[in-house]
Amino acid sequence: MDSSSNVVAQLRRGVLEHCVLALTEHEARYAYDLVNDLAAAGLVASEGTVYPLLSRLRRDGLVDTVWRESPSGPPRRYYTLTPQGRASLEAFRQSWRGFRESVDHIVDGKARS
Amino acid sequence: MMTVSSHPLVHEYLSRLHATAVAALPKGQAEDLLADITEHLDTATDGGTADEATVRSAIDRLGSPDEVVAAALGSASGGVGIPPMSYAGPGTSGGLLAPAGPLAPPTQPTQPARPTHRIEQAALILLVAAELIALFLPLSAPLWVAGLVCLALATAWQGRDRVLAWAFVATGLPVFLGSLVGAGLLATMVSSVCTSTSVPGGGVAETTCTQNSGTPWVGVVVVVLALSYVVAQIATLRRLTRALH
Repeated sequence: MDSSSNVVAQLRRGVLEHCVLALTEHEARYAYDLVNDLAAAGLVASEGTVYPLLSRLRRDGLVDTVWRESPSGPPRRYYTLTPQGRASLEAFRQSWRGFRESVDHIVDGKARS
Repeated sequence: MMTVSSHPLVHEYLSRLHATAVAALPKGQAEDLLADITEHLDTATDGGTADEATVRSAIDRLGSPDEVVAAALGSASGGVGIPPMSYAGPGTSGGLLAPAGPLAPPTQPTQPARPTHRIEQAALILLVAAELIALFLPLSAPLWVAGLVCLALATAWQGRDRVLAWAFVATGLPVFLGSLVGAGLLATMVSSVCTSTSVPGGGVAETTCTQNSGTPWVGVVVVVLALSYVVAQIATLRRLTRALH
């Protein structure tokens, strides 16, 4: 793994949890669809690693699960955001905005001008 | 629970994942992970009926079992995520971090963390208990009310689950008492109805006792309804309990 892909991997790791929270913000989401969205956005390299994260978010009380009928087959587990998860997402959002602007500012060389 | 994909590649991947997960993770976590990945592959391959290329690609995208289990180990202690950031730091100089200024608004929820489903469990236990001791109203009525409050506060059940909970669990006590009263009324109706007609001339001319022919049918319908209700209630309880896991 060269250093640039290593950096990307670390950046992903840092934001993945809150991206999952954000994806469940407005509606209950089926895990498979969540994983596909994250993969399509280039946020996960190995899709399987999202499931342990979902389990931990559930254990930590940031997301909840509900069972819903599926068009075919057994009921499916859907993920929803808890009040605690919502608070965590909101705190991240605030932090992220400041962080992003700061990094943009420095990386784009505007800090020196 | 779910259909285990019969595709040999899927089967092989799941066996390897099983071996790795069981060796490295606590039992519950390993089971959850296997169930999640099995369902994922099942969905991705249309129950194993997709063509070879699709199955192969779905498995490749998952990552190796080692990778997946390593992610589970890494997240066991809350390790994958980063702690909530706060960039109130050196923002005073040059306004570099100025936008982050009014951080930490009172966005914290007033209620504490609710990692388990205490309220949901309490709702089910209280409502069922109230129904079981329905006849002892001084105790069952308060239990029932407390159960209703818990159910109203419960957040884990949404949509259909929530409707079912209110329809078949919340109604337990009143339906039980209602059917008792109904049964009592029926019993008096079933007993033959006697009417005396007195003739103006004096004396009782005739006494007719009629069996209300409609009553048995009503009884059958009520029994069927009651049984259906009990079945629906048990099914709902199972469904709701399962949703909490």
